[in-house]
Amino acid sequence: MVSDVGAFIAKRLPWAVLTIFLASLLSFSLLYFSPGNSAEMILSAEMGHEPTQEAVQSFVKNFGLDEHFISQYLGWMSNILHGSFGSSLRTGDPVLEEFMARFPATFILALSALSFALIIGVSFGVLSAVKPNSWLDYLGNVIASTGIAIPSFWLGLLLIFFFSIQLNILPSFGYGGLEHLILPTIALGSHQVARILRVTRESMLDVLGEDYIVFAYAKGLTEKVVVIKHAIRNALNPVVTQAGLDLGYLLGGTVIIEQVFGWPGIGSFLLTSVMARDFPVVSGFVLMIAFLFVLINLLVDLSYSIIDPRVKLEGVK
Amino acid sequence: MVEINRTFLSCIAIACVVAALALAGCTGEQKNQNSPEQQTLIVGGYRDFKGCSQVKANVFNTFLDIGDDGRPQPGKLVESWEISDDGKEYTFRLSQGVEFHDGTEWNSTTAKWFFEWCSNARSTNIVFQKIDDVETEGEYTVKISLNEQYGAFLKDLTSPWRSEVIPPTAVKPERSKQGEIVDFIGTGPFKVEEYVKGQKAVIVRVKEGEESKVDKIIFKTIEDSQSRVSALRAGDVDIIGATEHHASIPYESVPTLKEDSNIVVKRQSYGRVQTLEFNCVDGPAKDINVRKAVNYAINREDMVEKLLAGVAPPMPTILTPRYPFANSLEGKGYPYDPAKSKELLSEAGWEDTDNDGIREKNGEDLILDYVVPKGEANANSIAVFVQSELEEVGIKVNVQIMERGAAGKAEDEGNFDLYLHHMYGIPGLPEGPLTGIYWSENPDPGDKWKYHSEELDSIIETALSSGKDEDYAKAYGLLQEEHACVPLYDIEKIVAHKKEVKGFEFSPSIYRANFGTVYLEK
Repeated sequence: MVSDVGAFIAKRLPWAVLTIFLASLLSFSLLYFSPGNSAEMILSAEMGHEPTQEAVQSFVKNFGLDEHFISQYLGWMSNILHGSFGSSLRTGDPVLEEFMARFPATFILALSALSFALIIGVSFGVLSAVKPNSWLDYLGNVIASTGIAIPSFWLGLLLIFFFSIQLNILPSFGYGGLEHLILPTIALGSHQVARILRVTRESMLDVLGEDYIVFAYAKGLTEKVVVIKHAIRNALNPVVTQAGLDLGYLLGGTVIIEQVFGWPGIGSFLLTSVMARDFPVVSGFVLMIAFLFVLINLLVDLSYSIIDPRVKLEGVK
Repeated sequence: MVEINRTFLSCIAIACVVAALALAGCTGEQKNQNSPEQQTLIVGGYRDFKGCSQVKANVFNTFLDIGDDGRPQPGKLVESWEISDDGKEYTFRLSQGVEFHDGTEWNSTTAKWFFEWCSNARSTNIVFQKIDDVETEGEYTVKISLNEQYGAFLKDLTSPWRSEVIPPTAVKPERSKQGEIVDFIGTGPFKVEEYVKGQKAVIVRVKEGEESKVDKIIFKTIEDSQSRVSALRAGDVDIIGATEHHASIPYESVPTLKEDSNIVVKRQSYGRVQTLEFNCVDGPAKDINVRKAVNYAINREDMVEKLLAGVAPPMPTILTPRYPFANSLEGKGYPYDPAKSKELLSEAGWEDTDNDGIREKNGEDLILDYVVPKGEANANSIAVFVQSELEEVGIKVNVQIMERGAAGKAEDEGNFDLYLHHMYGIPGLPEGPLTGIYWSENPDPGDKWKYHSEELDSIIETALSSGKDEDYAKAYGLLQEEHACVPLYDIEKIVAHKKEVKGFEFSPSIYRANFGTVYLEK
């Protein structure tokens, strides 16, 4: 088993490196070739008015922004290979420090939202499939439809209005105790709840129609045993795929929710950096997010064989 | 195997939930609960503490202070100064008895180290590139020689980005002129107790015994403007809007805040005007009659009433005439007069010959490209308003809302007739708009399309060398007469705080906020 996993990872590794490299090249070149002068944009955001040309030139020279694209990109890559992601043009602090200061907040929120989505989504998905056309099924449908239809930022504002301003029982923003996590988790996770609920329901309906389920019932097993022991496990693979994709997406930064709830994650910082053309930050963050995405995909693929032993790892004889 | 896998999956699921909850920690902060012994003020702001000059102004002093008129003045660190006749030597008499938070004394030795450190660490700032030599003359006098005359020298020494004064003990290696800042040590009334990047900073009052004022300030970063408003309404913060150099509270939220009996809203003008710059070099607006017609066609009173909840004062002059350096603009505001606007367009040869509502000249429609950099506050609705006002007099407006970089490129290349931006405010006045936009010597590529003339250049140069208000007033008077731009409204700074917050006063500079005088009513 261990050697299987090793072989699988060895086969995927070159593709993973290539994916990360292409993501970095793309983000660096998109930012480099898009209109706008980093120096002007950063200085004017800092000072609140247009900077003098002398100040702009001094900034450009200091950060080597007048160099050719290839030379800037190679310099950046060479620094990364030496363990340095460079420094932010806006804050002057190392990019890695900026990322590490913000990533825990994004990680916690992403994990919390995904856990919320899995608990609600899988529960209602299974119940909807087991009791089709029942009130539970209809309730599941309502949850899925509203979760998809309501924009998360709007839900966030509604939650703040009711729970923070009107009822005054939960904080409207910030990062700290559990009470700070509740509203952003619901706002962010509602979309994922809907998706996971639908995937679980579809998958469960497929599995419940399989011969071995009929056989299990024929054996005299109770519905509880059939569903929990035989059906759910076999229905989980698509759910895990969906959850893995969702987690990758959530770790990439949940810009709007972070903004609405003043959550100090990477998303809002990344957005501000894109606006300011702070390319060391954008390229560095994209590189790290790409790495995480690739890692999560790899873990999801590995988990298939753990959940369902019939699944063989691709490329392993 | 089945049991193991199920257990494994359950463990992972539980671990996910537990990790999320545990990592979130149990360090939740309660809303402001002040005891009679300690007064804590919770401030909500857009930026991180390190980039927020307004909060840092309570921890650090700048080398020189700034007056209500935007001019440099002696402050906590400097008592007085003299300038040599050639304008290249500045002798500063330093204040005595001032200490940094770590006990380091402020004297000529620390001042000399500070300027020499700035020449390395802040070398990208032009002011420090101009310094040739720093000498100490006794314990409390320091003489700075410049390599050439630099008119903005004193002004730059009031700037928080250039001259936040730190001691040699705040850098590592200590006292090194190449050292990196490793600690927040200043001479301000508060010192930093805690800083968490991107989240918060806690600053506490240095001197005890000022019981009637706040002892502790918790500055929290909340990037979204509506979220800051919600946080104030929910009672999670005590004050918002004070720590940004622009009007950070959305105007449309002001009526709601005013209706709340627990909230007080305050306004302060810094002379900063939301403006449309004309392309005076290429296109219809190079004709002064077209520029006049645009200025007379806009009902500014109506605009602020309908779109800005009546919060921002309409601005019919390029600067507010209440400043002595702009008093020439008194009574010169552009009136709302659509009939005159139409008359001027006809005089300029623009007539609607085909009755399609748009005027033409030589077979070409009168169309103005109106560029709006994305993210500029209130800009989109204002653009639509201006568009409809100009349509009334026969001018078609193409509103182009562009991402900031693209808008800057359009400006640089002259691909605009009207370009929206915000003018300089105190402390960038009076010289900012002149040297930064209208002086022909300004090398910014986007500004070459703006209004320029030899007469104006000569007045600006006289004003820059004399520094007299009447010379600046002359320059602004000419810009107003020439209809160099379309002033729209005064971007007033708005601060909202809880009713129990007392003693807040606006600072003379948009880059500062003084919380030293604030107290909480028990």
